[in-house]
Amino acid sequence: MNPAVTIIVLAALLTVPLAWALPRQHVQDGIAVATLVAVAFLSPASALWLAMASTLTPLAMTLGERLGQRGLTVLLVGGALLVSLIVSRVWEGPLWIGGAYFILRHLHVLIDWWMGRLENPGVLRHVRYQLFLPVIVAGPIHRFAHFERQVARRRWDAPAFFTGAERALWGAAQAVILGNWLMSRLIVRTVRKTTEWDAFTQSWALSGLEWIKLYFTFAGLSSIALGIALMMGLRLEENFNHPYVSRNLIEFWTRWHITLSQWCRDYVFQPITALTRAPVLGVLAAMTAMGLWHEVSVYYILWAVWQATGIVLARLAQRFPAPTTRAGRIGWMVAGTLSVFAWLSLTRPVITLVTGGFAP
Amino acid sequence: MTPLSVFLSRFLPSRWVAPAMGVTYALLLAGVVLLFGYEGAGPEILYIDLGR
Repeated sequence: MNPAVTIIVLAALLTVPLAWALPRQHVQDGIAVATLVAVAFLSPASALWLAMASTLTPLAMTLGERLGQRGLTVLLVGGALLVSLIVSRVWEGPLWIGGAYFILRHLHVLIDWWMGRLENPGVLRHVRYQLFLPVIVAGPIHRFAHFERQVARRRWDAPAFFTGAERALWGAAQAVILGNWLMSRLIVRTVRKTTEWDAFTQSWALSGLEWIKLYFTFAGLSSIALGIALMMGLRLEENFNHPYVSRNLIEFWTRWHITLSQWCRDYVFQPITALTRAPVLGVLAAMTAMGLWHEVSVYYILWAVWQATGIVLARLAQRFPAPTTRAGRIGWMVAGTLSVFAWLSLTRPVITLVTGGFAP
Repeated sequence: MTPLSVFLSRFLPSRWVAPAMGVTYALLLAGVVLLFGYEGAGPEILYIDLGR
């Protein structure tokens, strides 16, 4: 694991006893302070960014309410948040931590407030929601209302505490042993053994292994976050649900990085589809947002086009009648699962082939 | 009852569940600690690790 991640995870573990030692009304404040201290220790610039965004956003919302300019507030604050995210991607100097996640959480609060689905939380409630250490580095992108419900229901529950501890340990093992160690060794070995292969096939094989490695590492980090949150008495949204058993690409994106997929569905796909009456355009926009969230690059725009094409093809394939016999159904399921993995692992080789290796 | 204890109690007599859990936890923890410093994560993982 990256040293910064390790420090954040250890700091989050240290906040667990704090969460049970502090008086109930000050627990979230204690966690928020611990979050700011941990992030500032690693990256003062990120801590400043997080603190400013968390406090200024609800203040701007209050001003917007007073002036009767909710739309303009969303446009200005949302734009400023997105610009800050892009700047952090382009500016290589400081170590940036957590921006990809907390900017999406800010936009969720901002847009839901604009749509009337959420009241202005005010500075204190908003800061408590944003500064939650376990989810800072790898999500999930938890939602405000769910988080507040969990905080309100929070009580000591020994089985839940030990289930959380077990999950965090399993997540660490998944990320460190399976992701970082086992899969990295497999990838290095595969590179050595495939030097004779043509570039496309070698890239496909390596890409497949990297998707598996990514799953172990990322799902492991999510499990650590969810496990530590559960140790604090908070049950947050799941981020992975056995994505590699998906029967088509549409199902895959409801099982992989679930909170990001749901964010893109709610704030990109649905508005674009409602405005244009063209679901294909909605899918393309949602996947582009997801791709650019990963990295602002030509590669990730092409990545989005490839994923959107896969989703459209999966939708078309659903029009074929499913087999009725048991053997046919099993075969259909296996073929679907394999096609999902083939499509995902083909992403990089195809983009490299199409662009001749030039896709910054 | 944690998920691991539920899983183990399907296969083991109840008196063996707690020791088996202890062994599993020890193995997982040892694996994590021993391989802790292994630098395997490439740049494609880094942005996720740090949530840039």
